[in-house]
Amino acid sequence: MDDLVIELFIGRDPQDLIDLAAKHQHLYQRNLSTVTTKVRSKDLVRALEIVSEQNRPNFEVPVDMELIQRDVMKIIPILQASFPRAEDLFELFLRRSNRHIQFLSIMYEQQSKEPLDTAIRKSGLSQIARDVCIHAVRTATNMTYRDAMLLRNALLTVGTKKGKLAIAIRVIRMQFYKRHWMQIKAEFVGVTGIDFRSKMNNLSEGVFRDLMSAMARV
Amino acid sequence: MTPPEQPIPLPPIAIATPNNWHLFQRPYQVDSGCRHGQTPGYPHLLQDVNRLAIALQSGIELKYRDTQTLIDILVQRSIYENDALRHHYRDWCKADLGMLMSQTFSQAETHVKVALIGLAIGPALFDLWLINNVLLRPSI
Repeated sequence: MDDLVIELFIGRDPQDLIDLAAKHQHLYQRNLSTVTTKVRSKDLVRALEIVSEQNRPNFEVPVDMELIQRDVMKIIPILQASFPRAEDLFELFLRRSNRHIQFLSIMYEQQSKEPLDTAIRKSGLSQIARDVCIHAVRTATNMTYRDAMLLRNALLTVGTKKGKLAIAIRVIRMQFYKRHWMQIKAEFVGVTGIDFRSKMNNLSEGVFRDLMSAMARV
Repeated sequence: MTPPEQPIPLPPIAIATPNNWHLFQRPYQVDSGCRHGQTPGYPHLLQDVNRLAIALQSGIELKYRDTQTLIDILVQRSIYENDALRHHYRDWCKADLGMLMSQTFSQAETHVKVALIGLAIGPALFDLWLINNVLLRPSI
């Protein structure tokens, strides 16, 4: 469930979040922020609270290079700490625009000689905080790679009911955007060395296999 | 003196999507491109609505070939076409495609049901459906 919360809310375009909140209120007469009450992880609750403020600048806002430099100087010691505070990173990755995070990622890699998402993965953050930060960074820097990795991770557990549900949700959400979906499938081959279509053709179950194969072929 | 040319009123059904519209789409956007007051459409829409209606007539006795028809139609649709399909299905068959899909596949396995509902309702409504049915009120 935490994975789904991250995929639905983290790194999302600010306008999409506003639209979703409005539609949710209209359809279900319920505030979208009630999702926070269903989440157990404190880190994820904090991330959702920041996201629900809906004040992240959009892609068109020009970036401030001095601010990026200051952010890089903040991130380096946080990621090197034994017990980093997730909130410090959320303040950067969930409040800055995607363009800002793109530049931030480039400058971080120049200075620390390591990709930002790799450094986050190796850090002492909790698993959920790591997932939130990596999702935010990859959304800004390489959404195709992000989605290919999400598919790869879901396929690791495709033998279980939970795994099948995860792969169904991810594939459905990705295939709506046909060009993006083609890029993900190409990236998937690059990441795993396996063709996504043949992977789906090899699923055992009848209707589910037909459904996934049809989407993989589009 | 000739009168100034009057603007020609647009027909009520406007097919506003160029064929390559999806090339310029931002992934995961909520907006499908369908505008308020506009009746969305695409070529072969009526045939698709008809085929869907026939396939879904069999209700919970859905046969394998009917499921295949649903897959064939829904998988190919862009998000704009998906809106058009749902809109016209509601107008002509007096039923909501998402609700119908949910009822028809109520006995199916969760992952199959979720996938078919998602295909039927499109990205924005699917995200809302996931929030409501999986996160807030786990009913699946």
